[in-house]
Amino acid sequence: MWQVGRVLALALLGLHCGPATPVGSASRPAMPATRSTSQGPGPAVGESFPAFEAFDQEGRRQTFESLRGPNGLLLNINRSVVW
Amino acid sequence: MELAGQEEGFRSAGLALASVIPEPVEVIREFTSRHAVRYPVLADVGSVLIKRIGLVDPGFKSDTVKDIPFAGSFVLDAQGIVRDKFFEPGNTDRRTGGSILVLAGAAGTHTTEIRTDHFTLRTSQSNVTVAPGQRIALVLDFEVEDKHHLYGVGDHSYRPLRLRVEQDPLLEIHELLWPTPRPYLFAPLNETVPVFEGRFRAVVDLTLRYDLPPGSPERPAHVAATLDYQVCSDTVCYPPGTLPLSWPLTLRPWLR
Repeated sequence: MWQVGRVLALALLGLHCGPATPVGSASRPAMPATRSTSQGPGPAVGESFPAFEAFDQEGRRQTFESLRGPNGLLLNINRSVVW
Repeated sequence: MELAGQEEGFRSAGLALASVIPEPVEVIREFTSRHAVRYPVLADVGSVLIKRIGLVDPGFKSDTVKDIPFAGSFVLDAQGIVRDKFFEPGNTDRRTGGSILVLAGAAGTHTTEIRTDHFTLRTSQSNVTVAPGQRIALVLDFEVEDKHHLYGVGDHSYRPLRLRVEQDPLLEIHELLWPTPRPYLFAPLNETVPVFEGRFRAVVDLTLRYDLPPGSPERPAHVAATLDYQVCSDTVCYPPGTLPLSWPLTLRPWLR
């Protein structure tokens, strides 16, 4: 399981790092070579995400450093939990 | 709530989950408690962070709320560098956490295996239960027998791999993503053609477009498609073939 997790972590963090290996291998299948959705507002791929802090639903003060896992963070931006 | 259901998948990849919403802590607390969301949801009151990172949607007009962000996700590495981002053009469209995992190579759910004479195809998907506006991924995992190959699109007379998805008003197909085929020289005919070999994945990206009022019961649906292909070895080509494919869906309404 830990090997699967490591491969997945490397893949998630390399999603935008150029074309995938064209020939499949026994350890990892060849993945789609292009993905057109790495665009949009906010910091660009390759840039540092600005430092931030805010309180979460439990009243805990959170920053990137307090939130991140061993391989980073998926930060989801949403409009509302009400409407 | 879909993202909350994917928390284990992201944790196995060493990625923590967090959300940012421009609403007060007490409003967020009531929501996360009601829907059992355990990962941190940050109250960006006054849209301080949202404004700092340039995410305010200028197209959103309201008399009661302001500085509303575009909705999407960033993948940050352990040093805080943006490694990927997912923002959809429609302001009600939302890419699922499951589709982010599948695009990175994670196993999909609801796997079906089809064995042909020379390759195995496993279909799966990022999500089965879906909501209006969600962008999900359908997965095709191929495993081709050694010394055999399938064809990519090119200037040749072989039948290339092609997925024909049946038109359906509840679907908007965005793109079909294939890996890069490699050039294969067939010396007896002195032709070089694009081929796929070994293990590889294709992904169909689509958004669900339907209306189900809150309170409506869930209902089943499916995505139907046909795969065209032709297999050749180093010495012989087999007749072209087709495979009928299907991915099940459960359509649920908006929760609010």
